[in-house]
Amino acid sequence: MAEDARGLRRDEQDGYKAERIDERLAQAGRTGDAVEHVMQKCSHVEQRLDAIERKRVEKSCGAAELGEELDECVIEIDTLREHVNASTARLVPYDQRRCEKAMQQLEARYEAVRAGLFPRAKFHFKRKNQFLERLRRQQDDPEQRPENVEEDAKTLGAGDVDQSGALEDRHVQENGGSVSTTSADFCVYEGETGATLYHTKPNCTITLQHLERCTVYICTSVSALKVSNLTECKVFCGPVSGSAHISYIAGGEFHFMAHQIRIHTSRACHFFASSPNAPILEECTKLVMSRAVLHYSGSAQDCIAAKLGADLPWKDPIDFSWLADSEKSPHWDFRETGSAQCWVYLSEEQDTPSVSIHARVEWKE
Amino acid sequence: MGLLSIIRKVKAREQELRVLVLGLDDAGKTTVVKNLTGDDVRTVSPTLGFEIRTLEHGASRIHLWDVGGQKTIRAYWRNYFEQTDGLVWVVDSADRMRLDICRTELHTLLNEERMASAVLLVLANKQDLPGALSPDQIAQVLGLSDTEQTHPASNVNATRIETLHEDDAMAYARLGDRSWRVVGCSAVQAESAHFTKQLADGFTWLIDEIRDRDFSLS
Repeated sequence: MAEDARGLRRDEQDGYKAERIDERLAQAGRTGDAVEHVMQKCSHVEQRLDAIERKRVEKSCGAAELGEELDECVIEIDTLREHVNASTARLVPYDQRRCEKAMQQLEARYEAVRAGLFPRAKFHFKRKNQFLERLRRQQDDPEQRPENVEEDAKTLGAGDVDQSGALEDRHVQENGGSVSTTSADFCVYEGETGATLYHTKPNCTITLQHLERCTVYICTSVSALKVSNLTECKVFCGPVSGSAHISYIAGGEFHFMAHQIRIHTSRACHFFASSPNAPILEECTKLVMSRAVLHYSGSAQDCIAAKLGADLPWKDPIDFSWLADSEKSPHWDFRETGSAQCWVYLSEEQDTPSVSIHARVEWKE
Repeated sequence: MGLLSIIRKVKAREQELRVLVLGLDDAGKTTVVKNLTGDDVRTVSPTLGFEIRTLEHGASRIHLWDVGGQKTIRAYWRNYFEQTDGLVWVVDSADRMRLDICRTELHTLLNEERMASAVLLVLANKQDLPGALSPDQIAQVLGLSDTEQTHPASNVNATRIETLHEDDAMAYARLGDRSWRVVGCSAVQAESAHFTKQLADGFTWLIDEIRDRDFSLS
């Protein structure tokens, strides 16, 4: 009798489990349908956008007519976006990301078609020159300087915080000029090919951009390091007391230590980089990561000044482009350096009329 | 549920403010939050996902939602917009390379309907770094202030953008009725009385503005 009751209960439990499994399968089916629906809709709108683009190229329709079709597309995209947002709670994270990615691609496609049809004028500040002029006047006449600038300078104990050069540097960058701009402690090295660059002033904010096949020696501590658009370059940089932000790098070798490291949209480069925090990777491929091995005369003191230990423990990077938690990202590999050290020796030579710096790199086991 | 408990709940809700702390990655959002909560700012790591911290300010409880700013997760910011009272937009004042992206992301946020009533506090962070743009310049670059306007650098209040290029007008937020302010700070300099005061003043202004807005709405 008791056995019968137990058997009955077991059957009931099995039935309950089966029901739950059925429920889950049904839910999975529903979310799968929802994702499929989004994908189909995206594909449909994309086809419409393609058709608009084709008509624009062939000039078979007027701009006004194409504009109306584009308006219809944008309404569909908005509706789809609302639908995706509303479904977020019901979808598993993987499906959420799929939908989000499809929507982003669709929105980018729409933006490209729209830009082709109705190009937007380049942004500029209408009264930029007047603004720069006003800043220059403030720089020349201390009484006209905004109060807080002086206050900030006092607090920092840095009388040479360059305020006037700020937008001027920006102007140089906007126009894609190849001039290396250096103002006070904010140093920009840019637009060089095959050059060897040296920086020796400590505690500067360093920006390296648009460099090709260059070697950069920054054998001192740095406040912040910003690197962008470097191809096949070698960078030897002392400890960074703030963060290092690196993007759009193709090939090359980078040596540095920083409190925070972020590497974006880069491929096929070797980073000898250490940080107390795990480096962040986004949209990177074929990276090789190793511990920092850079040494130079005074590097130990610079590490202490930057509040970085000379021997930081290795931390695996976190790759935002890799969803699986349990598996290591294939976008980077760790290469053990053992006891190897990379020494940079700088020497000054008196070339009339100026002093020139020479560097020698030596690997020691 | 009795009327009294409903009133109590409504009152409790009024005492709670939801403030979203956003900005590009490496702007210093977590450092700002840690500075405010009195935590150690020397050990800050990149935020994965989000963190919520609560501050007591007078009778108010402020929930600070510190959301990661990585490019990959910016698309999820919109999931946090609901019932936001204030937006703290943190800018790395020395990161001139990404100011354009910073401006675009900010205006995308401000154009969101769910953020229409949120008070905006822009923190021009990392003022201690050499070459950092001043709060005034940050306001300019972010397209918040009129270049002709004369105002103390960090004490600007609501203004209308009327001098923008016509073709870019759509890309800009409807700032007309929104209260906003740009404040210079250096969150990592927790021991600096000057920067700490700037930060505290900025947040006090934010909370007062939210209170004023709620009062005028009710």
